[in-house]
Amino acid sequence: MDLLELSGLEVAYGTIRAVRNLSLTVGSGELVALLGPNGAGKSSTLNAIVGLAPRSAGTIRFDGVDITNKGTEAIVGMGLTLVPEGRRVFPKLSVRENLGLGGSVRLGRSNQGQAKRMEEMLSLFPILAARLHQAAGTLSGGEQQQLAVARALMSSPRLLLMDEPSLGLGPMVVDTVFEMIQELSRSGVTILLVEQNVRLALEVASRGYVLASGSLHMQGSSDDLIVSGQVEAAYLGVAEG
Amino acid sequence: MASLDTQWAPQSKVRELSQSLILAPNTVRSLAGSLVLAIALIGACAVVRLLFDDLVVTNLLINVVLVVGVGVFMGNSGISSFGAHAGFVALGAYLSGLLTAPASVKQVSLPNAPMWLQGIELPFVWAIVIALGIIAVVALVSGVVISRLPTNSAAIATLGVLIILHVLLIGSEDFTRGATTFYGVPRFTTLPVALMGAILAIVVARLYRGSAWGLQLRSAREDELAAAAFGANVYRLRLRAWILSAVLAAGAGVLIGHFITAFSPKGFYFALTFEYLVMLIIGGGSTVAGPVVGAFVVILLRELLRGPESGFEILGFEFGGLFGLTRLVLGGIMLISMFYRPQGLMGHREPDERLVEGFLSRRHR
Amino acid sequence: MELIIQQAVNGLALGGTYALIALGLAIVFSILGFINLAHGELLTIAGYTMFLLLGTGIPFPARVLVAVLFAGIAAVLMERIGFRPFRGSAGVTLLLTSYAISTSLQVVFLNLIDPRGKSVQVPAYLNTLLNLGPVSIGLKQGLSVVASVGMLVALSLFLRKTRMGASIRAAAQDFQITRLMGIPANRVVSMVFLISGILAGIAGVLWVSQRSTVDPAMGFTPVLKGFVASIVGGLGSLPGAVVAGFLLGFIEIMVEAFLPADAQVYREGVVWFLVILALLFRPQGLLGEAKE
Repeated sequence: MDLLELSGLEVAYGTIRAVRNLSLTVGSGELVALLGPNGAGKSSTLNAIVGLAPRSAGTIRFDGVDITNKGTEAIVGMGLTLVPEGRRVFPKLSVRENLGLGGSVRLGRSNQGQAKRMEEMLSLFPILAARLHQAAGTLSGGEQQQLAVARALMSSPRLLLMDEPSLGLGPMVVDTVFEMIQELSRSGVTILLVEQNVRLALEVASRGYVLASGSLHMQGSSDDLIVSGQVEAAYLGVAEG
Repeated sequence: MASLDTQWAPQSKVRELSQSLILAPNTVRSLAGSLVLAIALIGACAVVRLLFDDLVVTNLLINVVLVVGVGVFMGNSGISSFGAHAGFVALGAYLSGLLTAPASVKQVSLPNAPMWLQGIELPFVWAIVIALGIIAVVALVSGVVISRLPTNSAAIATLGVLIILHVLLIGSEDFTRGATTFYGVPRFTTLPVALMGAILAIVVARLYRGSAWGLQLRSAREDELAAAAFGANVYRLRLRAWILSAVLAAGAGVLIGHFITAFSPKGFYFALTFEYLVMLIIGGGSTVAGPVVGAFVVILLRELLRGPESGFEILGFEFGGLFGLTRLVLGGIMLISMFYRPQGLMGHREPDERLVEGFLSRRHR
Repeated sequence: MELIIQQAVNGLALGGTYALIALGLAIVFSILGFINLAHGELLTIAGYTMFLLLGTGIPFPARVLVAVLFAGIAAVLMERIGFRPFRGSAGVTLLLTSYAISTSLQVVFLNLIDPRGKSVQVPAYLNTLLNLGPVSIGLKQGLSVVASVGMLVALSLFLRKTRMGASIRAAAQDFQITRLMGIPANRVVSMVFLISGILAGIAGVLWVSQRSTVDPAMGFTPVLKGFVASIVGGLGSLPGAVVAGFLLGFIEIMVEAFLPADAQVYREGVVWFLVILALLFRPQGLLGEAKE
C-alpha cells in the first residue's frame, strides 16, 4: 500500500481552482518529484495535503487513513510534515527555539526525547549547531533551508513534503541542499519534492509527476521523463487541461 | 468579432456623445451614472416622505452628503477615517453658523467675540463659500500629515484630527460658546436645499471616482508599489481625496447647522463617527451608491427603533425602554453585514455599471 | 523639585496602566492582526466584578484576583463567540467587529446594571502616603507601578521560557506555519486572549481604584489611549507598546501638571498633537520595523 495517495484532488480558493482532479501516489521510501511551471498548482497541492489549503474535492489518504478533512495539527501528528516554500522559519526565534517547536508535536512533553532528537539534528547539520542561539532571521538562505528541514525532521516524519527547496538560493548552495535531500532519502525518509528545477529534481527522484495549469500533464519514471522531452513542453506553454 | 470593451455602453455611442459635449468619456459616464443615482435617490426619498415626514427626509439627505464625502476618501484610499470627518462636519456647522447668525443674537451669545465677528451677517451662499474655503485649508494642513503616513498610523492620525478639532472648538469659547450650546443659526436647510446638496455631492463623488485621480488612488489601495511604478504620486492623490472629502463632509455640516439651528461639540464626536462608519460599511465603500444606501438603511432603522427604545407595549404589558437598543441593533447589523457581505450592499460596481454590464453580456450571448 | 518627582510617579502609575492596556492590545494584534476595541469592556468587567463583590466580605486582595480572573475568562469567551467566526478576515473587518462587540457590551451593562456610575471603594489603607525622603508617594500609585512592571516582567518570562510562550511568539511571526508544528491554532489564540484579558483585568482594577467609580462606558477612554500607544510604539512590537504606554501616561500627567490653567482645556489636544508629531517622525512607530 502506498504511503500517500491522492485521488481526484481539487484545491479551490473561492472560484479559482488551483488544482483539478489530481491523482498521485508516493510509496514508502520513495523520492517522488512534483514538477511544473509557476502557477501550476504544485504548492497548493502540498499545502492541501497538510491541510493549509482548502480541499474542495477528492481524497487524500496517508498510510491508508483518510486525512482529507483533518486539521493540520492532526495530520502533522500522524507523521506527515511540510518544509514550506521560502523556508518560513520563525525569524525572531533562535535556531534552538525553531527546532524545539518542530519537535513539540510528536515528542510532546518529553524533554529528554526532545533533547536527544535535537542532538541528532545538530550532528546532521553542524552549521545549525554553530548558530544555535542566533535569531533564525539572521541566517543565510542556505542555512535557513537547512534549519527548515531540520525543524521538519525533529518530528521524525514518515513522509516529508518539500516545497521548492532551491528557490532563491545560489547554485552552489543548491547543490549542497540537494545532496542533503539525497542523503535523507537514502536514510529511509519518504519524500515528495516540489521543484521548478527539473534537472536537479529528476536527478534525485525515482519518479515524477508534471503539473500544468492545475492538472496532471504527465507522469513516469525519472529516466522516461528526461528522455521524452515533453517536460519542457509542459514548461513552455501547454494547452488547457 | 467580440468587443474588447465590456466595461460600459458601446464605445462608439459614448465617444459620439462626449465629442459633441467636449467632455472626456469617463466624465460622460460619471455624469450619466450620477443621473441614474439621482433619480433613484429622488424616488427613494419620495417613498420615505410618504412613510415619515419632511424632517426625516431632510436629515437623511444631509447624512447622504456626509457619508458620500467620507466614502470619497475611505473608499478610494482604503484608509479608515476614525472621526476626522465628524470634526469637519463640526467645523462646517460652526463656521457657517458664525457667519450667518444675526448680530443681535451673537452679541448675547458670544459677548467676548471681536466686534467684527459679532456684527457679521452673511447670506447663506457667501457663508458656505467662505466656510468651505477655510475648511479646505484645514484639510490641506491635516491632509499633508495624513497622506504621508502608512495606513495604520494615518488612521490614528485621523482620530487625532477629530480630538484636536473637538478640543479647539471647546477651547475657543469666545467664538463657539465652548461646550455649551451654540444657537441662533438661521434655518436655511429646507428639503429642496438638502436634496440639491445630496445630488451635488453624488455628482462630485462620481466625477472624482471616474477620474484618473480616483482610479489611480484605488489602484494604489490595492498595491502601492505597483501604482507608483505606473506614475501614481500616492501622496498627492491621497491629499486630493482628503481635501475633497473634507469639503463634502463640511458641506454636510453646513446643512445640518442650518437645519437644527443649535448644536454643541459633543454632537460631532464619537457617536457621529460610529454612525457614518456603520453607514459606510453597510452600504459599501467602493461605490458612491454604497454610502447612499447605507445612509438610508441606518436612518430608517433608527426611526423604526425610536419607539421601542423608549418603551413599548405588547398585549397590554408595558416594557420599559431598552437604552441603547438602536446602537445594539446597528452594531449587530454591521457585524452581520461584514460577515456575509464585507463589500457592503452595493459591492464594487455602481448600479448603473451593473445594468450596462448585464445588458452587454446578454447581447454577446 | 518634589513636585516634579511626585508628578513623575503619578505619570509612571498612569503610564503603567496604559502600558498594560497597550500590551494586551498588542499581543492580540501580533497574532490576529487587529486591534480589539472591545478590550476596554474587559476593564469594565473587572470594575463591575469589584463592585459586585463589595458587600460579600471577601478581603480586598481576593476580590482583585477574582476580578482579574473574570476579565480573563471574558476575554476568552469574547474570542470564542465574537472573533473566531471571522478568523482570517481583514484587519479592518475584525477591528469594526470589535467595535460592535464593545458597543453591545456597553448596552448590556447599561441595561443590566445601571447607566449611572457605581462607586467602588478601595480599602482606606491604600491611600496612605509613603514618605521617601523629600517625596511623598501615594501607596496606591506605588502599588500601581509595581503591579504594572511586575506583570510585564512576568509576561516577558512566560513568553521566553515556556513552550506555550514560544508557540505564541512563533504564532505572532507566522501563524500558518505554527500549525505545521502541530500546535493547535485555537489553543494559542485562546491563550493569547486569556493573557490580554488578565492584563486588562489588572488595568481595570487600577483604573477603578483611581477613579473610585465604574460605569458602562468607562472602558472607552483607556482603550483609546492603549490603541494610540500600541500604534505609536510600533504595531506588532510588544516592547514598543509598553514603552509607548509609559510615555503616553507620563506625557499626559506632565502636560496636565505644567500647562497653565487657562490652557488646560486644550490638554487632550496637546497630547494628540505630540502623538501625531511622533508618528510623523517615525511612521512605523517607536520600535516598529521600518517598511521598505
